[in-house]
Amino acid sequence: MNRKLCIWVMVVLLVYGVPVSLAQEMRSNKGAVKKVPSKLSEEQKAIHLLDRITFGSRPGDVDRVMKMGWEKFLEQQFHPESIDDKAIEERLKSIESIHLSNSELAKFYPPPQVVRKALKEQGIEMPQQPDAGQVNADQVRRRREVAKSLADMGYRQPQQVVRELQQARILRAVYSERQLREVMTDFWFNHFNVFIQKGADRILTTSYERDVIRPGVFGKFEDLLLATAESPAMLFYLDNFQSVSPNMPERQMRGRALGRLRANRQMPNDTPPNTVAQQRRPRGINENYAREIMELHTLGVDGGYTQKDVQEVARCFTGWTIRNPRGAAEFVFNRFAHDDGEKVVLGHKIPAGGGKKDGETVIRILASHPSTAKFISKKLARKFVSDEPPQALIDSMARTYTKTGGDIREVLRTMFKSREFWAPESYRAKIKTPFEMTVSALRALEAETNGGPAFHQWMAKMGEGLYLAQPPTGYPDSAEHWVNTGALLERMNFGMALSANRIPGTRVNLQSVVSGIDTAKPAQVVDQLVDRLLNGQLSEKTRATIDKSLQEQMASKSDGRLDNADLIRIVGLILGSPEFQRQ
Amino acid sequence: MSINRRYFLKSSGIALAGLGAMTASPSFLTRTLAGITSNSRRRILIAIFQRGAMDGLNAVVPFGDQDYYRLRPSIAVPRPGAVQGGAIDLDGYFGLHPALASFKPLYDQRQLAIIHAVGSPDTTRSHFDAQDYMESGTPGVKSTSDGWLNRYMQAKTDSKATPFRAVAMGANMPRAMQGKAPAIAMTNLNDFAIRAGRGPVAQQVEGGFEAMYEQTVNESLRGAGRETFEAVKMLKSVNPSQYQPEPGVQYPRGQFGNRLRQIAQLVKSDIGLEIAFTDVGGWDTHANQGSSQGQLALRLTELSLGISALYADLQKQADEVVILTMTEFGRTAKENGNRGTDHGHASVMFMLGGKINGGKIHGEWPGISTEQLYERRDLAVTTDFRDVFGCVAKDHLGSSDMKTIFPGYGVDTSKFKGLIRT
Repeated sequence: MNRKLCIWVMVVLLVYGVPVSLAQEMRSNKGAVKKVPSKLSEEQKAIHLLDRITFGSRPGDVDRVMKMGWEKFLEQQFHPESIDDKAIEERLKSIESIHLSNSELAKFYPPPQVVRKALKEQGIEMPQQPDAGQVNADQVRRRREVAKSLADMGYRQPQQVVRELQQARILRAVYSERQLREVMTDFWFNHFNVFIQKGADRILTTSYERDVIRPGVFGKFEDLLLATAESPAMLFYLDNFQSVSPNMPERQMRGRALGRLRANRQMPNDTPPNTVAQQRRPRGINENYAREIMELHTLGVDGGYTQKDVQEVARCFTGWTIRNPRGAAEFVFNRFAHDDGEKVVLGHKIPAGGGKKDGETVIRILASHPSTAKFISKKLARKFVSDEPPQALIDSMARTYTKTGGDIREVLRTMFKSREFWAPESYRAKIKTPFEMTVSALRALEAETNGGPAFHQWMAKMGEGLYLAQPPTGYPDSAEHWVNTGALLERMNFGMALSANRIPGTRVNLQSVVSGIDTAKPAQVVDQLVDRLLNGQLSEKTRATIDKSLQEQMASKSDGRLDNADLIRIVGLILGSPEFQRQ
Repeated sequence: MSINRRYFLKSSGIALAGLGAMTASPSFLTRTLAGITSNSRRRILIAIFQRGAMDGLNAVVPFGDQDYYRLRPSIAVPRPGAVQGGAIDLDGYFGLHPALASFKPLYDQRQLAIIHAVGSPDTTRSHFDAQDYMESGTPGVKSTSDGWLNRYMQAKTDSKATPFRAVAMGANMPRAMQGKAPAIAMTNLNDFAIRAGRGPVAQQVEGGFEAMYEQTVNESLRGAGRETFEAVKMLKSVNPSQYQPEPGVQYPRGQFGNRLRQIAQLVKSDIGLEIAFTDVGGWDTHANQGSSQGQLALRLTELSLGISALYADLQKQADEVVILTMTEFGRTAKENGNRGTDHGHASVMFMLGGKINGGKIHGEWPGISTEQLYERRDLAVTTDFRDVFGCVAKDHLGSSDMKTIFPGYGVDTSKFKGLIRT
């Protein structure tokens, strides 16, 4: 902390006190705990809001928000279209695949079956799909050769689509001015999770995030729910695309469904052709989506539905499928595959002959259900307030949800205006997820990154690979999930790797971070770094540890100046510190 | 993470009051290591969670049951002796899926036991809930904050325990091991260190991090921090990577095989490992699961090759080890419209070890005629998974405190009496 700020903070502390968690950390020299706080200071409010609605504050952000007033800043963030974001759009231009349609993606990044066939025609054998584990040198060489042949034929690797999507998400989190939209995109994607490594979802996830999730993050929940229900990515991930009425006429199956569904199977190569054809005939309902839409997307597992409801909802969604799944991949409702009998869902009778309306009715029933209002409100409060949000807050958000017909922006507004959000207990009460932790470090240091695999790898090692949550639950949002021995070690190691510029494609300039500060005055250098990386929020004990480390370093120096290696170490220590893991 | 975590650590003697914050204490290491070796026979449990719900009926096939072939016209595994891909006969009624061929010799040597129709009394068909229940060990009760393996460690405190008493191979701590007792999650033994170059600088950095986490007010960060540094130091001194697989042992390529190989290294390095946990996914075969070949066969191949490699690698320690597989539920007895199976009820567990009374299929077979099926669709549960877990906790690991480990349930320890020779 620089001196001016320090004095200012002291004044604030005297007037307002400090929040609990800080109070415990900031002890006076005599070791007495200072006054228990009653509310956040204006500066803390700005820090708190930035902590929660952005991927971490950049230098100057706190001052900007204080000057502007948090209400105005929040309002801006609620309307991303009003914020100029040319800089990030410019960066994203060169990332080709994220701008392509499903059919273009399918054409340029064909699935293994197509590639295998194309290679075979050239007399090349396709190498085995690599597992997550080790690959030997020979395999690497062969894969390179094959990749080159494919490139010559105009094909690119499907994994490139995955990498570029991860890259774009990272870049947006770091550089977009529309920060709350990115935070909410992360939230809703995780809520309506799909796993990008599942078959056709390698291709379909790009459009899913771009055209389904991101545009809907502040809209009506029902619209988002319907959009996900009709998205090829979700239809494929939770198997609904192959859920058909058991009474579907045989002729229809052969003539229409078969060809369309053909491309989706992952049959072993050696299966005889006639078996393949036989096995490809869909013949009944699939409950997977019906169950998850209630358990995970809307009502919650205790939301009051039964196995019978699961089956009835599955019947309602029969025929919701994908046209040309390995090509243009569009949503289509196949009436001939739909079970058009009467259904009863959660006590609502859905008369026979409804066709596609059956599924839409289910969406409406679920979106307007009181359990959904509570479930969504609680999940949002857990994301933005604390791991165990107060019930009163959840209730008040749920009331807004019901009153506004599930208007997400209004539910958020209720939360951000609540006493609970601004309570000292909520301040720095969340542990950053790996995505938040790594990106916030880049933002605080104004790092230059290409968001490439080398950076993403760190998030994956801490347990949060983007688009790589396999179960439909997505990643849990609680401290105990992220804080464990191995992951903690990776966080510290990330701090060291970033500060030492050991992450290819990502660069920090520590000299510029401390420019204008006399390197012969180590304490001032540390003040500046703590200010930049933690908005000054560092416990005395952690500070003492850093000072001690610094003294050890300085003892061996003749000129008494901090050099770059010293800076690397201090910055690494701060990024790996307990304080930096919190927000 | 529980607030009591630290208190537990203190009382368990791991966090020695005299242990300096900045430096490793050699006496600490000697004490723990000596402690392990001077004990009688070590007991190690290696738990493998098959996430996604394995189809038990196609893993251990009731080929003697006509209904099996009626229910699964396109995905059934053919009878033993079929021209292609027949089941491997075990007792004239049940057979192993051909992809589990490497289990057959272990079964014949009576070291592999199979428990069929095992599962949860809770009827949820949600992966998430069912995994949660199987790991918490309290089916139907969501509020349980810790996992059954962790409660075992709480019930049987060990003053000589090392930070490596419980290790999960993977990026996240599995629910089964969450709780007051310390445990480690790691993805790779070689990466488990502070990487800040070599020499005194690296040591300073490590010491700096350690001091910071020692002092933070945040309970979970402080707890995880302390465990981290204790473990880093110990691993450095023991260096498990020096233990290579026994000659001829080959783990399957990929993450699962790598994890098992590293578990074997931890076992061999005498680092105090008592509970190892890892998981393997891909069992949610809703569509085209295949019969003798296909998706499920690929998963079963990796599973069985991995486990049999691990067991061969640990041949010298076989009497000390139990390998136990588990999966959250089984799948529908009848195949669905997509040549796959939907979420069902009971499934199969495999138990392997030098002290196992194997070569037998345990549990009561409920049958699979329509009337015998649970809700007329799933293999019924005749063995509560807690009776199996309880048997391992008692007869292998040596805790009789079933009330702590499985609260609200009376484990029937007589049910599998003799399954594990004590």
